Amino acid sequence: MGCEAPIPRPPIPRDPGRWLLYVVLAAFTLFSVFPFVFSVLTSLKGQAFAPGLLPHPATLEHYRELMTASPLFLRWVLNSLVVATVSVIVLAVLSLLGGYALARIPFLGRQAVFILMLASLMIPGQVLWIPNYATLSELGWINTWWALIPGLVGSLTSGTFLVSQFLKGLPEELEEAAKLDGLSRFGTFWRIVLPLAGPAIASVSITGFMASWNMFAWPVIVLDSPSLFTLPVGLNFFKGLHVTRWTLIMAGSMFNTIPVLLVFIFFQRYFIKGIAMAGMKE
Amino acid sequence: MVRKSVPGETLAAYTFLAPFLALLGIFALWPLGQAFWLSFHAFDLFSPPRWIGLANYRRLLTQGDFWISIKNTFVYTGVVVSAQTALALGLALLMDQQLRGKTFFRVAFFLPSVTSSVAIALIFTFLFVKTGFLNAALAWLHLDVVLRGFGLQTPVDWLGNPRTALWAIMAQNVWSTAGFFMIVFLAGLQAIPETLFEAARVDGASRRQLLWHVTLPQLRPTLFFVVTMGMIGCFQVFDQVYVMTDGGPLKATLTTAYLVYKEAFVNFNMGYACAIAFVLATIIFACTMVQKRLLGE
Amino acid sequence: MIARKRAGIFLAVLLGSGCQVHPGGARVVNLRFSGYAGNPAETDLMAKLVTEFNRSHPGIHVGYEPVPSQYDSKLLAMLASHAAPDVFYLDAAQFEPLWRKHVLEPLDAFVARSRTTRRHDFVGSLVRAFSAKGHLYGIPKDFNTLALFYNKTLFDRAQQPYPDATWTLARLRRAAIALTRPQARPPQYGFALTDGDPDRYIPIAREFGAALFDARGDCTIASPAGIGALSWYAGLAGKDGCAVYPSEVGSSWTGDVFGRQQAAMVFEGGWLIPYLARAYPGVRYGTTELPAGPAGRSNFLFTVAYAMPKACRHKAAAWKLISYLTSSAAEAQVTFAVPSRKAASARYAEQHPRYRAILAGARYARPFAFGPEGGRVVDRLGEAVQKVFLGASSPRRALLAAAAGIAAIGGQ
Repeated sequence: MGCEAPIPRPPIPRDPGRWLLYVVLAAFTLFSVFPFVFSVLTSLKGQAFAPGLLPHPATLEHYRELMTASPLFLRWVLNSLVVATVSVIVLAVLSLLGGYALARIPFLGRQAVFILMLASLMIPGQVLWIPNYATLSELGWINTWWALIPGLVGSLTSGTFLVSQFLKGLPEELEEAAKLDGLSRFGTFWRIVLPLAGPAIASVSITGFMASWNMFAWPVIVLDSPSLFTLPVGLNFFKGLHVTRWTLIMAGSMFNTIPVLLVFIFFQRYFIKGIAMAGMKE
Repeated sequence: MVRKSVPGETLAAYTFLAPFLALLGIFALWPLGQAFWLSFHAFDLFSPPRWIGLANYRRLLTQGDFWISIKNTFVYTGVVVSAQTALALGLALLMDQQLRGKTFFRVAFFLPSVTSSVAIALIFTFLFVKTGFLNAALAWLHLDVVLRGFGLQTPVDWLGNPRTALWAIMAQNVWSTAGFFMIVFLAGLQAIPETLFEAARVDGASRRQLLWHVTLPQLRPTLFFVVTMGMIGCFQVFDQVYVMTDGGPLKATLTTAYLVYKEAFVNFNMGYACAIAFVLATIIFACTMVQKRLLGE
Repeated sequence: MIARKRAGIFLAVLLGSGCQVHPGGARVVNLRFSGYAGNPAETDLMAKLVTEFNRSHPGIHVGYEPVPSQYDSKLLAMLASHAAPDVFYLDAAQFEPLWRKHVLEPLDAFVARSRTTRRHDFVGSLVRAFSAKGHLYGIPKDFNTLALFYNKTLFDRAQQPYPDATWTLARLRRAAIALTRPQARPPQYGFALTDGDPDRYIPIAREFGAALFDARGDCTIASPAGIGALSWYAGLAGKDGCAVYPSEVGSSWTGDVFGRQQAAMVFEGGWLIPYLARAYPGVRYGTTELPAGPAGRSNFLFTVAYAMPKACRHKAAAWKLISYLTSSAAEAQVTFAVPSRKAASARYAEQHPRYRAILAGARYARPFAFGPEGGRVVDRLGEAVQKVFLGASSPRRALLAAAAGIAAIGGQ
């Protein structure tokens, strides 16, 4: 797990405070990890409410049941992967383009766009459900994955916002120089800004993946066919009207949690590389 | 930051923004406009909307539930945003240095924000019940005396007691978002040019001075982002309430967004729900603007 | 955007929501059928019935769309956008609100012409739950009522006789006190009750002689009988100390407390029976009718019907599906609730003796439905019950506040 910052800073002298630092970090780690560990353990228990923290005997029964009880389970996992992958790509590209324009181009209506973006984030989404449903219905998109778009517009807006904030934090000299060299707007974006935007891309991708992967309330409303469901929607089949099968839900949640975690682990390495590539730290 | 716009540049900017603005327009601004229009109508989703002017807005001023929800929402936002920002910033500063197992800590802190929401709801319900882990831990640490000092009966039914339910949900929210915002701060910290630190060090700045005069000012955009996102999320808190308490007990966790949902989908009062939503949006907008002033865009 | 739209439609066609052509060449009517996914046994049976229906009706193709959560919100969005399924589950509580919006298709004409689906084939109280102004808007699917579940082991250990149909609420209270062992590990109580919902309190209030509304539609729950009932009910957990509510023992519903054997008696619906069989197979228990109160018996009827939206474009085909799903043959396969046909329900209770009490309750049970503003009425009543349990208010003040709140709804 030893992925250190690529450009070593001068080592900090060993002082007693360092032990305290590790104690604080360890305590917070425990605090963060406990619920996750708890759900892993529950998924291995025969009964959700069996006493004690550790499952005894531990059983993989619920994982086996997930595969057999619902023939669509693997399909939902696959659907989630496809939807999340496509969403991440689209979200990253569109937020980079939009964020760049907002951060760097002084254009007419910039302030208005900014305000509209903020405004759209501020209205409770529940009042938009009915109008959006009607629009999708007009478009013939109900019960297709296109109908998931409204559920991701919020992520797109905050992603655009994040990219623009990030770029504003970068010095402009390189771009000014490129402009003087006669590079077009798009050329500047492509050659100068994009290589520097690694960390922002990573952040937008991670948040976008999470948003798409965990999207729940909206897909339930707009998807009708179980074969189109994403995993969080499908998992609710185990949550009955009166009776909930917690062990199955916990086992299923593992499929829900682990891919996001993997994406994060992967991107967070890239994250640091991105900064090294940016060459901003000497 | 405000510079004069150039016509050619404006076209370029809108070309960059076109796909985003199209989606924003169709699926956020257009329904937003409709909702605004509906807020002046009586609309039950089925019969045609009937114009009633400001009646929806007048009604919410006199409805007790609305004010309860506003109070709850403000308490919730104030506490959660400050707690999660402080925690996230603190952790990020701790981690922005040579550390053993840095990746491990980063992943560990991020774990809460990727754990599935259904699982989180169940886990916290487990922790918060009267016979649950939290009460056992507090009793073991002899902290239950403190709770009794506050006039609570121990063990506490955290989600079932009107005095603690909102706090329990706030704790859950801080837990699940602090790690994520820490990563955002960390990204912000790493984007600060090392040259700035070196220059300050050459001038003989202490670590504390570096923090106050280099790190924090440079973090402003990130801080603005984290606080704004935190505020927008908290003011609209809905999921946790929907899953864990349904607004109860005795409206202790009735938040404005939950009230909006209830009016629209349970009580068929779409126009009224829209009016509440707009008042809430206005409040959020005002708070964001104040925040923007304070953190200086 | 246009390209996207086209792609979207293409995708939709690909996924089978467009019009299909039957192998024989004739056009096929595509129907959508939707309901909430109550439990796996139910979704499996529905999928099976739909497959059989499609096989035996070559001109119709039904797509079954079970909704895993938020069914009411989704149904509302679909109905409001004229995109409702051709046949859908209609809960009794949603019937009056939706009926008032004129979005339900009356089924009288179809019933009049049918030889297999006739009004008197179905349990009367179910038919009434979906009728308004002399018209029928839904064919009942199945139902549940509340029964008194009792733990035989705990009764034997306390040397108490098992409850039966002659029991009264007073008798229940005495038994509950005798069955309570707060010092046991884990503590054991005579009864488990719900502290935030009116779903157990209302039948008890009616057994005390209270009525929710009078003939003029005014809320009368704060009558002496209603207040007496709430005092009695809250007293079980309060001064009598013989009842517990789920959150106190770290559970989410009374059925689970019963399964853990921490409560010797609960009022629960038939859904507890399959739950116990799977989650707590070791529990020895029996069921009987809810005990009678000073003013007689009452119960709640939890029921669902198949309904058709007014905007349905294939009404004849939709009716075929409804009558297929409620046919005697289909109802014979129900395993999770009591079927709605008189004959099928009687046979069911014979085969599954624990459901006898559920069926018996249906004779006098009233639908779990509270008029066009039912959601708010339930809210107000739930709040009153909760206030009393939290010690925030006396039964009298809590119910007066609820009645005032309910009266104010009408004025809005």
